Amino acid sequence: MKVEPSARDLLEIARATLVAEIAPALPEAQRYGALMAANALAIAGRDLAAPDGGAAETARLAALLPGWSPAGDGQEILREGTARLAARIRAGAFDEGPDREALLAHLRETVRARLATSNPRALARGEGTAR
Amino acid sequence: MNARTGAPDPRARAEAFLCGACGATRVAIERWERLSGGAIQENMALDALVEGGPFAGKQAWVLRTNAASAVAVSRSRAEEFEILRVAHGAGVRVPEPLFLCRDGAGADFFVMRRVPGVAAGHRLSKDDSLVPDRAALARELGANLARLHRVRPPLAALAFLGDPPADHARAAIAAYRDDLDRLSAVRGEAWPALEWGLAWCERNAPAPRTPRLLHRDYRTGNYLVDEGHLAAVLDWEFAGWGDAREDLGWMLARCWRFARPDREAGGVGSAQDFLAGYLDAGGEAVSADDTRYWQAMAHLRWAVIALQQAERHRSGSQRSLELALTAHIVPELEQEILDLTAGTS
Repeated sequence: MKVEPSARDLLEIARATLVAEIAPALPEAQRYGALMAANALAIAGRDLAAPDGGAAETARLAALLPGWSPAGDGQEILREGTARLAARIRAGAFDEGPDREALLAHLRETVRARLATSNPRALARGEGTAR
Repeated sequence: MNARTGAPDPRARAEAFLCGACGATRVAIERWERLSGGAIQENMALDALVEGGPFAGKQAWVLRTNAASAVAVSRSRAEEFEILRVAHGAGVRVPEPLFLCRDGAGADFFVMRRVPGVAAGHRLSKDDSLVPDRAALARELGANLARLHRVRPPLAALAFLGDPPADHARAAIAAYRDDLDRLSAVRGEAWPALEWGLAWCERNAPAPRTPRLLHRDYRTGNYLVDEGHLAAVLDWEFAGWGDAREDLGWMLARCWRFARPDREAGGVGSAQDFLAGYLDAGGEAVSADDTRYWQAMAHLRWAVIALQQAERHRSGSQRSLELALTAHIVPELEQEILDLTAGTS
């Protein structure tokens, strides 16, 4: 048995302690560094908690890449599919028509998942907000 | 003289240099204090007492030099000094550049007048007491940029900037793709959302305009506001020739609005006031499509730079929490690129 509390819990309490107790006691120049460290702990915690969307993302990539048959759904396969998609976009394969809409739906989904870890506050902003 | 290395003490070296440069009989540096610096440059605040010559009296200066840890330097201090001189001569609000030291006894440095004011983006966007009249500041930012954009190539003093790109937008797209390819090769990642943005920008590239002198990092955080007004634009190391609309899109990009994403001009004012100030001071008009296009380009450029910064950390060449976190800005930039480009072909 591993010792509890777990990595996630430790990251969360370390982050909360930095923000609530340590940062306010620091001079301004060091406070910024402490808040950056707190942000890094928050990202790490969300990364650990994130659902593994690798299989679903690989399936979406396969649907966008005719002729590509992923052998499994591991990280390496996901990297390969992502690289293929990037190259196809650059070649202009998704410039118009239904392929374009399918690509944008995939990109939205992927960016949402990336934001859920990196910056969930930006997620809350939603799509197509006024600027 | 440092006995161990034989290098002159930087402060004594600066005093000796400034004495000659000011035509003074004596220069005593009474305050010598490091200001917040970047990874590439180091800024020292100097209070100097000058005896004799045209600068006699108390002087408040900033000395700018390369940081000890300087990596690939974008522009040399001598080049930055020339850019500042040209901008100052064009009526752009900058710290007045005074003296350039290339005595070979250490890293080159230059000295400029110290300008009071606040640069911090989170403060300028949040605190109305620092900016009581936001319309006025936005107009000043626009007018100041229009004065810079009056400078056109060729200019002998700025020959080191090279030739302007014939088509800035397409040249930038090609450069960002090369950058992504290099990052991809070492990281084993790819960025489909950025590729989408670049393909969109390629399809929608505007007809090129006559090249102008650009700041290329004209945004909140890089200028000083004093008593509510624009006091000086800082950080000229990215300046170069190009399409003036790039500077406008950079200032209006959502990624530089700090605490106030609803204020389009750098979180401090409205796009309407910023662009009105630009037009009134002789800047060339931009359409809504232009603005959207160069906002998308701004996010693409910042995304590429953010990935490069994160790579400096990941590769071990410069381990830093701030650089590491920069990678996590990229998804937000990707979302913004999709928002800007999804509605149109």
